[in-house]
Amino acid sequence: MQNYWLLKDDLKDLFESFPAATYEEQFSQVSIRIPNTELEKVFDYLKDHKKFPMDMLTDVTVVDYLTSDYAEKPNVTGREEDLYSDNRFDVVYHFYSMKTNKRLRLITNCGGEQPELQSSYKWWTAANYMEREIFDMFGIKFKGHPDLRRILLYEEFEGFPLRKDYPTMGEQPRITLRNPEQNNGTS
Amino acid sequence: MAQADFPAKYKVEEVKKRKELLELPIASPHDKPIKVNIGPSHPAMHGTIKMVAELVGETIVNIDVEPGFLHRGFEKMMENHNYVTSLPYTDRLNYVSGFINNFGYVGTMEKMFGIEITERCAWLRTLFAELSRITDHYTCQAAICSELGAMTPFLYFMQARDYLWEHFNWATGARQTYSYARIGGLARDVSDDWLKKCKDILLSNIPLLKDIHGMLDKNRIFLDRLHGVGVISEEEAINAGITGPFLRSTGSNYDVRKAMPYLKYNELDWEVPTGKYGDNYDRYYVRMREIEESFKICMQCFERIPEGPINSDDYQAHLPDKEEVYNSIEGIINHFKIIIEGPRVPKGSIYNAVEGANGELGFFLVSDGSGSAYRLHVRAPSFLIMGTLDKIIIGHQLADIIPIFGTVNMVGGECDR
Repeated sequence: MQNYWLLKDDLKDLFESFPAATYEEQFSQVSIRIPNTELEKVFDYLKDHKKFPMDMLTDVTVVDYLTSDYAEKPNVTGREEDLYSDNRFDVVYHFYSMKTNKRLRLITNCGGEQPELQSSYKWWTAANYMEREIFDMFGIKFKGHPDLRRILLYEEFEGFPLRKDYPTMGEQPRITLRNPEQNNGTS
Repeated sequence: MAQADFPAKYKVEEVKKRKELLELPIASPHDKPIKVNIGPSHPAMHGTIKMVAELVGETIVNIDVEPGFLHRGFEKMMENHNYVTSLPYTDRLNYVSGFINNFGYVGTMEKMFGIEITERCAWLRTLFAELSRITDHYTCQAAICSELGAMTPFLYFMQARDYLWEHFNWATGARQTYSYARIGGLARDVSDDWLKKCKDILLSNIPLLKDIHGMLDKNRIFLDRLHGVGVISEEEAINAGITGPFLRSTGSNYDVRKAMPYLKYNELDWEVPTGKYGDNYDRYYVRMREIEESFKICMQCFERIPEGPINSDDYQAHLPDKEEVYNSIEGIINHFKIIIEGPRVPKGSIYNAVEGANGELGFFLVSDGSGSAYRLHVRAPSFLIMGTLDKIIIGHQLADIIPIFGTVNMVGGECDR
């Protein structure tokens, strides 16, 4: 069967340019893990890669590892060390190279009290809605995003529902009527 | 025919000129933009979405697209249900082509388990996926027609679609939300009669499609609304993550079925129709051509569906036959374990993409080895299309929103999850 993912041999120059990158293979799909400090350089590098230019950003999403075995202290919720750990969130990017029909998954860590990350909007406009959704669902802020606000939920929503510490049966406070004059009758 | 023909003069230049006009300074206080709310529930809108447009005269200078009215926390629900009981939720993603979502979802788990589905199952899944793509395109085209005031083609499309939906009812017990797939197989087999009747229905649809082509393709009113309206270049579309018929209308030939073949698509003879200009008319025509290609695939499927079992005998994920459940202790334990605890999908993460009716439908699944997903993310094609819609609409007139929004085809259930 043909492999549609970039394998280790194809990625030699990536590991030379970014010695901090690590390689992982699961179900014959490849993930590259990179510290979030180098994210900007990696985007530059992937967008203008000589052999495999990643022209499409297929997907951006986040996995919250708060309650999993992968976490530093597994299955413990609400402990401050875990809640504000730097490795709490994995931000997962899926790239696709249209010309060579190859895919690549890039994973970076994110966390802390005010999780913040470099936006990829400058490189791929596809990030516009996907990063807004992440902000909406996980509360991760993106530096350099042109219009970061809630997208699927309403502005008065409290908390971030896809985080693992958000209660499944949680209730939201009632919201007051919005003043139509204030926002020019838009919402 | 790989590319759509253009019977009338193309109006891209005009649109560009209009965009240049927008950059002129606003001269009089009367030109101050006014805000207009469109949607979320509007007879001419294609789905539940709200747009706040800023108008100067009738030209749109700024627009804010607000999805989210059908948000029901799909991804959170998937974390709290096991893999088997969460299957019906996937029907409700793109509710006009539920089969494709079903097969994409179970295919993700099959890849992780390493389950090989049987030949008959793979062929039937290919057939159902294509039938479902046909109904989805019918619905989209019908909506465009009705929104533009063309009631006859709308009714023709609906008639054709309902024949198929009623026929799905026979096979699965539901017109729209089928829950037909199972991990490693299908819910139930279809009879030869069903396949024969299905073929008849598709053949009976062909004259309807011919009539529709005759009514719309060179219809002056229809062309005026579609030609040169809502243009996007191939490069922009790729950069914006747009896939499916929308991307193919700009000239790219990216199709998941060809790029990374799944099921039986690499064994079939069909082609990827592409457009040229990426405007409304191209999107309309690419969908019409895709319906024809899907017909072609279905006809080949009828010829080639083999006899045999539909379920794999790998019982780590698939429910055992009822005979075994009632007659053996292993069977009943197996059944109980799968229903209550859910199949234990191996640890790790996987991304599985299928070609949905609107584009690449991806499932990113992180499993921690238990019976329910640790995280399941759906890469919804409509959602990314909505992210670029404002750029396409700006510079057009208020009335152009309707055909543009119709042809890009947004399905609320999938976009908002």
